[in-house]
Amino acid sequence: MRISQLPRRHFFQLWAVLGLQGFFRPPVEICAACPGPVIPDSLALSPVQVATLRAIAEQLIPRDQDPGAQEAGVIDYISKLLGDEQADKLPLYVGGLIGTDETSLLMFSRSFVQLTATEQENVLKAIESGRAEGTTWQTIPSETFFATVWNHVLESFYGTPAHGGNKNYASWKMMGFPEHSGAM
Amino acid sequence: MSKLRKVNAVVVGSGAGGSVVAKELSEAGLTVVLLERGRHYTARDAHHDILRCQESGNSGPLGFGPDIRANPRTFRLRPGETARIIYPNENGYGRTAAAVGGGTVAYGCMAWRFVEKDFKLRSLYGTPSGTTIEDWPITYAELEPFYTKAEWEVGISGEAGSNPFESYRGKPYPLPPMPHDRQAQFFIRGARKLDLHPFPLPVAIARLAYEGRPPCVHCLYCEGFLCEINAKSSMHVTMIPKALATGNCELRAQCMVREVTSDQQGRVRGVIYFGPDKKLYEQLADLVVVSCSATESPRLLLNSKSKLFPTGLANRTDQVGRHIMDHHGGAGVMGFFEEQVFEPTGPGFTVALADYVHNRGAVLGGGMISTRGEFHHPLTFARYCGGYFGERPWGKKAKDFVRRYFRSCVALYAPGQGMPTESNRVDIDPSLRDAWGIPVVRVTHCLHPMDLRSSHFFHNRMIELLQAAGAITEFLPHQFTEEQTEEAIKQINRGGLGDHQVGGCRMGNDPKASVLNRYCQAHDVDNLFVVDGSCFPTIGGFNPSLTIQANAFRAAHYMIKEWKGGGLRTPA
Repeated sequence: MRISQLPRRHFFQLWAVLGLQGFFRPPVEICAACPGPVIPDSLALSPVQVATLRAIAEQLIPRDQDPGAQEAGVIDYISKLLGDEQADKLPLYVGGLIGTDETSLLMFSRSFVQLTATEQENVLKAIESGRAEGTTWQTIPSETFFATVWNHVLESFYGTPAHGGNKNYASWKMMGFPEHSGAM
Repeated sequence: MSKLRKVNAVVVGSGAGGSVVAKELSEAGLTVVLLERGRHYTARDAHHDILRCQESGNSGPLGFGPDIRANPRTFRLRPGETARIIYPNENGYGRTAAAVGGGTVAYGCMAWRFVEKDFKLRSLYGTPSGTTIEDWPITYAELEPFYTKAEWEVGISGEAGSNPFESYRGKPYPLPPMPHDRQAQFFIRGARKLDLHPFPLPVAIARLAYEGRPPCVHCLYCEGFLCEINAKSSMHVTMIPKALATGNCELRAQCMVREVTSDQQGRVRGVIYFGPDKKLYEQLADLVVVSCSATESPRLLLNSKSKLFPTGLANRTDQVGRHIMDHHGGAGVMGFFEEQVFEPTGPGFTVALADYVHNRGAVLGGGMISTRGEFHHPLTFARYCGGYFGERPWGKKAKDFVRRYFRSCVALYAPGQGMPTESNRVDIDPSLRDAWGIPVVRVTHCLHPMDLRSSHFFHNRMIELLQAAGAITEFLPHQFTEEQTEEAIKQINRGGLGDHQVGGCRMGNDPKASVLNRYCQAHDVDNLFVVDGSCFPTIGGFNPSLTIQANAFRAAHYMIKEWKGGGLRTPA
């Protein structure tokens, strides 16, 4: 697909050379409205990937009368993990986030961040159960991607704040669990 | 390879079994080298970080070992199937810490005696089709004095006489029981309504100051954590300091034993191990005690091949690795209440009942029912309460549930007795090796129909208990009917080992059906002992650690008697 054929005001990620196997750099992003490619300078997620992940996390633990995953620092937690101790999961994340958009496009003709909450829920249910459409999922097992993200989001929301999530002990306050107990 | 100066005994593994043996032998005057593959953690390493505790569900490293990538195993349900790789932080591996003190470093500390009948399951119930049940070659009477010794030397808090189903005891507990917490009050309410007999759960935690260790401060970080004040009666703050104090015992941590060596006369000579520097060392000894756990002890023996033992050390009758078991009797049920259950007080499991031990229709020996404490942490609760929504809870509904019910949850646990079977076993994976290049454990394990019957039986008993206590029935899982149980038995596709792995080198009087004699001594090899959970012929309906420790005191007692009589020595 040539750049001129891309719909306007849509952001797409292009795989330059290799397939998903052995991929370890974030893809180059082409924005039809931008002057040139934006190359992130870290090995963690790109802005587009982060936006999709934020939207997924918001579905997993939404904001209501209490903070949700986004506000609690899910991105800080996951970025830290993928940049260091769990860097081996970065290809799964990058591929899975691309797959999430692919499934969204196939199901609803829009990218994940553009869907309504109900549509996003349906996409995630398909990914969770392994029924999601999309060629990405031929190389990335969708259930593994979902299970990994779900677990990380849970850890970021309910875990010890020192790791980047659960900012201001948001979830422990919500549940009436003593904040200071985790300090040690 | 460096050859080290010969000692009287080398003990491989510093957990509940190995630490006791090392301490007893050192105090009796033998020179002992205690090898441990894990690190030596102390109170200074303690933390309250739920993301770094000894928990299988976390994505990060296990708090107290083993290193995840370095220690894979493989697992399959049945023989003939392809085994898949599993890592220490996955279900089916087991969370036992790899550290000086072994599993006792971070365990939940329940400290149970078996009952008399637990030692003779075959005599009482026969051998149901597909099981390989055998009686223990010892009776409760022979082990009883060592249960008492273990309770007093380790430091167990409990109330003698409070459990009407306990077998006789020669002495009370050294420490009074943990006080009942608020969760226990619900359990007691339900139990009394059903005419059952709740009692304080005995634990390896110092209720009062004991032997220089301070009393428990009831923090919320017990199970899965190393105790920062040494109130938890773990081996690294009880047996090991005593062993080291004799001057006869040398502890070497981060040493991975590759094989046990033997001579032309069929006696063991010592062990070969990788030091922390990754170099190979040979430690010679008069006697070798293997205490690596139910999975790792068979592994070590099977990897120790020689001309006299071509299929593995002490394996002439093909029994090493067989009859492996764990507890599957209904791992957990939760009940939710209008009233608040949560209070910021640990350890969280302070009450139990034993009415279903060889009683009231319990399957094949049954077991205890108790409360549990892990679900009184937000992350653990959020991760596992999903049983009410399907496999993984997420979305607004899950968040509402967690917010509403975290503080009103009573969680129960019931071990039930897992069956030994012909095909459930540990052997060596044909291709996979660990980070040291040593071939790894392959677990073949599938539930037996009796395990499912037991699991459903306890599931139903726990729901009854919660309902009698006043739980909101809307949120309880359904009870299993007999038809549902029989239907589930038609196609069992569940298996895997958990935290209470036992068997693999079982004791017995018949060498054709066991690896060890009644003293945990290999039938084939006089100066080789296996002293950990692998020596159990059946699993009992209770957590195994105290029985492992009591049995270790008993085996050590025999070793010392023989040694002092001039036996067990290898000629120079």
